[in-house]
Parts: sequence; C-alpha cells; structure tokens
Amino acid sequence: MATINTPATGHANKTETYSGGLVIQYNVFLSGNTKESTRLAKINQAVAVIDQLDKKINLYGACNTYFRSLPKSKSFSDFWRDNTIFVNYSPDTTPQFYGATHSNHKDMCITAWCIDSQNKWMIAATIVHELAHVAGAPGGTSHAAEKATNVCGFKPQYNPNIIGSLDQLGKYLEKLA
Amino acid sequence: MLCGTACADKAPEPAWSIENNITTIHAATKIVVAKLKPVSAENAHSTSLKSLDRMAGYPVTGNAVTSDKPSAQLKKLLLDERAYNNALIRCANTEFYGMRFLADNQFIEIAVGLPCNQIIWAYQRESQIERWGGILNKEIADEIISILKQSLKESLKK
Repeated sequence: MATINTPATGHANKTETYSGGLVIQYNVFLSGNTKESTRLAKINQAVAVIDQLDKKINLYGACNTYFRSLPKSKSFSDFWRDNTIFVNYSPDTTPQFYGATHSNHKDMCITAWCIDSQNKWMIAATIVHELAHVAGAPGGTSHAAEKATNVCGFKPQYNPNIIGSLDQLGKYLEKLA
Repeated sequence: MLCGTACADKAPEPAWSIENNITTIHAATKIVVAKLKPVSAENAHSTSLKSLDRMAGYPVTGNAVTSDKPSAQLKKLLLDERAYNNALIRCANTEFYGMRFLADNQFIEIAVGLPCNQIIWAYQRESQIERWGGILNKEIADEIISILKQSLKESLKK
C-alpha cells in the first residue's frame, strides 16, 4: 500500500513552490512529542480504513472502474498497492485545506489542520481524493478527484452535512470488522 | 479518448489568456458584483451562464451591485498570469464572491472561493459554455476580495 512517510522510510522532506510564492510542504511524520505521535496515529488509522475497505468490501468494482477512467487508466488498487506513493505531512493549519498532491504524482500531503480537526474517515477520504490526482485527475474546476471519494465509499465533502454519511460508513465498517 | 469525468470540464488553456476574454475584460463598461452561495461543484458546473441569478454557477445572495466603472486594478489583477497557480489541493470553500464583466454583447462571470483562493471563470467560446479554474495567489486574492467588498460596502452607503 501507499507508504506513510516516517523517518524509517528515508524519504526526505520536500517542498513545491508555485508561481506567486505558494509553498506546499511534503514532510516526514515525526513522533517526537505527543502532538506528533497523535497525528501519526491518526494517519495510520486513516490508512487502515482504506485497507479495511480494500479487504472487507467489494467496493472496488466501481472504485477501480472509476480510477481506470482517469487519465492514467489504472485501477485504484494499482495505485493504493504502490508503495512508492507517499503520504506526507504538511504543517499547514489553514482551515478547510485538507491536502495536496505534488506534481511528481508520487507524493501527497495531509495538512495539520485536517489531521487535528477531522476524524479518520475524513482523513481517509482526503487520501482517496489525492490518490485520484496521482491517477491523473486534474485540478481547476474539475470535480474528478473529489468524485473518487464518493465512488470509493466516501461522500464528497464540501459542507458539514457530509460528515454524517462518513460516520455512517464508519459504523458500517465497524459492524463488518 | 476515454476521459470519464476527468476531462469533462478541463479547459484547454487558461481563461485569462484567451483573447476574447482579455478583450471582454478590457472593454468592460459595466461590472456586477455580488456575494455568492457555495453549492456543489456539479451544480455550479451545470448552471453556469444559465441565469443572471448566478455567477459562474453560484447563486447570488443579497444585492448584486452594478457599477459603470469597473476597477482598472481589478482588471489588471485578473489578467496577470502571475496571479494563478495550478496546485492540486483538496480544500472546501465556505464563501464566494462573484463578478460579471459586461462589454457590448459579451460577458464573463468570475467567482472567487474562500478560504481556498479558488477562482472560477465561466465564459462563452464558439457558442460553448466553458469553465476554467485555478488557485489565486493569496496576496492577489486578498486584493481582489478587498476591491469586491469595497464595491458592496459602497453600495450600502447609497
């Protein structure tokens, strides 16, 4: 599966700078203090959610089909099981900013705001969203990346109402576990 | 080419670089400014340029303010390529501000979403409705929003 960037992986910190000065960081998840350890634990939980989906539910018929429709024409499993794709940490605390994907299409980041303020289901949904960008889903006005979260078991999240459906999915998964 | 939804609304080139759009912005003799309501991306996409109650597909809330003097600084900011980047981010806008530039028979609608600094252009091109989006650099987004808020504020004084 995709690799969480911890010191053990040897995958260094990265930054990507865009025109006009926007900088997005793709950093190692540290665990030197309680806050960092909590963040790492939540990322591990979110990754476990996606793994659980992979193993317990045959959602990936639709999910794999959808990912194959994206520009790189490969299934969700092809990407999710690729351990050269890294889930990194971004220290950004801007509200509503969940994550980003590097232009190398190998690194994604989940922001401190997302990890600190959202539950594991929302973090997992964000990883799926970013994985769709890895699969070639464009940015701009395109809804393709966010749609992947819906097709793969997570409702698109643009307002608080959607959190309810993610919670429901969580309960469903708990029953299956 | 098999695109699925991936290329459904992918504009081939940046909206701010399309000659017709540049001409419309430069020649605009009227601008309508409004605060907009966030709706789903698909809803905004399907309703773009279909009604004057929306801008770039987002419903107008409150009063839309019309001015016969579009800000030259606003035009300049919108047509500056350094204003835009193509970062792939997941971010949820909680509010939008919109503007409609009118020049003769042409018009363009632009929405700016906050706090993501996302910008969406909606315009007609060879009888097709096109949408293009990007991320605005923060300083420029702040300046654009400040100009729009000022327009809305001034209208309240009148």
